[in-house]
Amino acid sequence: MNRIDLAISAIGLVKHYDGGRAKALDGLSIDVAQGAMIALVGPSGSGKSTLLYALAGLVDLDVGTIVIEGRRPGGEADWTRLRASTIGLVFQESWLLPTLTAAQNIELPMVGVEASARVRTRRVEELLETVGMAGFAGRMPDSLSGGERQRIAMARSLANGPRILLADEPTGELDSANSARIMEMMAKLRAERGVTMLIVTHDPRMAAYCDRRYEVVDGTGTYVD
Amino acid sequence: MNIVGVAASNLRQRRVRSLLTVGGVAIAIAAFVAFIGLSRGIENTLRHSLDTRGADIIIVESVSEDYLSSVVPEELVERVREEPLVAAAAPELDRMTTLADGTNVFVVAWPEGAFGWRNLTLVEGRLPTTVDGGAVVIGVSLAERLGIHVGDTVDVFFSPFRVVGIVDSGNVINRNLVVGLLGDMQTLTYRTGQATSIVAQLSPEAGDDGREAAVARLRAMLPTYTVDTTEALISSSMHVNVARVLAWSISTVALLTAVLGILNTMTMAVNERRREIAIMRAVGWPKRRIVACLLIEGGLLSAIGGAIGCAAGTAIAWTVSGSPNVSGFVVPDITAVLLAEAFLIALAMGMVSSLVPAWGGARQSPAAVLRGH
Ligand SMILES: Nc1ncnc2c1ncn2[C@@H]1O[C@H](COP(=O)(O)OP(=O)(O)O)[C@@H](O)[C@H]1O
Ligand SMILES: [Mg+2]
Repeated sequence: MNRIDLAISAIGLVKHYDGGRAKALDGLSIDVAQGAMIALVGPSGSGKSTLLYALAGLVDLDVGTIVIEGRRPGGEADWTRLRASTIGLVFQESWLLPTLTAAQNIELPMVGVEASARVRTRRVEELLETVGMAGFAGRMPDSLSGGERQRIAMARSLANGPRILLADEPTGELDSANSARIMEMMAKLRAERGVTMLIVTHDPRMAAYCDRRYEVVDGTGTYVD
Repeated sequence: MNIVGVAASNLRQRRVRSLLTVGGVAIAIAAFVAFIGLSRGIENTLRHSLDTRGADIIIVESVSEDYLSSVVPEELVERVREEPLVAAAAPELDRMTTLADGTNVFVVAWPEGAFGWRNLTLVEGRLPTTVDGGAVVIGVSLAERLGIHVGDTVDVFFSPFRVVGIVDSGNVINRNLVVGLLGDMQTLTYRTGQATSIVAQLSPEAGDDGREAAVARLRAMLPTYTVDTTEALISSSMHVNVARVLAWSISTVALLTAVLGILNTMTMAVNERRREIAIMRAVGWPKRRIVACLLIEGGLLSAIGGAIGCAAGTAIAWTVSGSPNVSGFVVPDITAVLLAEAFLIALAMGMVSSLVPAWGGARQSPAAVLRGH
């Protein structure tokens, strides 16, 4: 495959903590094709979360090169721009800002990006629709269930139309019905919009939605199928 | 929604803490406004009081820190009259006394015909003469407060005086004055032959240079006395200085306390919200927008606190100045400039003390917070 067709290409990522005692990433390399849906698997503490956040520019790497859509982000400002446009993130616990409504949480990434309030409002409505949460716009996060919160978080990660979605155990805290719902939503997004997906999961049923599995062990990893 | 909206919703949702911080800022700003306003008021009313009585130069006893306790011989006035630029001079005896209703009043006494009498505007009645034997004029505000009319008597130093006139002049102290004849007051206060000061009026053509020259010559002529312009005397007065120092020190302490309050609130806000800040970074907010958002929070808290403080401080100052002990002596001097200063101090305090926690918060590693475990 041509490197230009890769959504993500990471080479030799190293991140050690506590003076080298915790080797979160230890020379890990990974290529992710445009539009692929990859399950990141591996034991707890193997470095999956660190990899995911590193790919979003949120980890200060010791060594390593990351290329996103054929370009190497130059620094903080580049990464910030990428997160505001190209890369969407979903966290393990559906972390929403507790002081904002569901709709405002979804709108958050658009602040400073999309100037027109009307466009923002319309897009929030569409996204609420997409995640099956129309009618929940004005609800505060603490009045929502875990599954509902994760769907709002999902909508938020899609706010600026990202081409890459990085999800850290998005169904980790959900029951199987809600988990299946999230995974189906992600599969649909990939199918309809060609969004590249990297999903950390422990659950084989979730991994089954993906094209391939990439296994992380002790800070390095390989594709296992 | 914009960053102000995000900041405001944070304050609204964390209502108790926001209100407590606003309260802290408000108290500090209120103390600042009230103390500074009152101390400036004390200075202004004293100066104005002497100004409106027409004195340009005052000669008091050298050793006394406080001019009310000064004692000078009445005859000193003759020496002062030798200065060519002095148009008129008179001995003045000033005392404070407490009236039957518990209010303090300022009692001033001059000899009959002294220039001070001409600066009083008679509203009713006439000025006292030596023929009356125990007559005074009183200021309009005092007359009103005590319900006294021309012809009534008022007890001063436990002696009955007949009120023969009611006077006005543009000054709060003067509106609360009791003015009598030097001889009467000397007898009543066991100060025969003595005065508090010699007050002098310069001839109109003297000008600023002439005034300086006259002061210099009088100082040379009267080395054992303190010769000063009215203004200089007031600003060096011990009471005024004490008031000023107290006002500044109390308000500084209050302001520092408020800074600590905001610092505490914002540090807590940032610590509690490590995750929220990490989320903002994760969804593509630049650090400086996050810092701006936190600064706006601090700014909003302190602006609201500042506004409440300005209003409360003004109210407190006026309430204090109306209390019986000081009524008639102090009119708070709270100008638009003072209020603007107070408000800007509040705002600056809020911004500066949010800056440190805000920067610290925006620099935390988002991955460490977001990865769970
Ligand atoms: N901020 C951090 N400080 C110290 N150690 C860390 C930090 N982040 C990760 N680690 C360590 O790095 C290793 C990998 O962590 P992580 O990427 O969260 O693993 P996973 O997501 O696969 O469970 C673990 O040993 C973890 O303790
Ligand atoms: Mg993890």
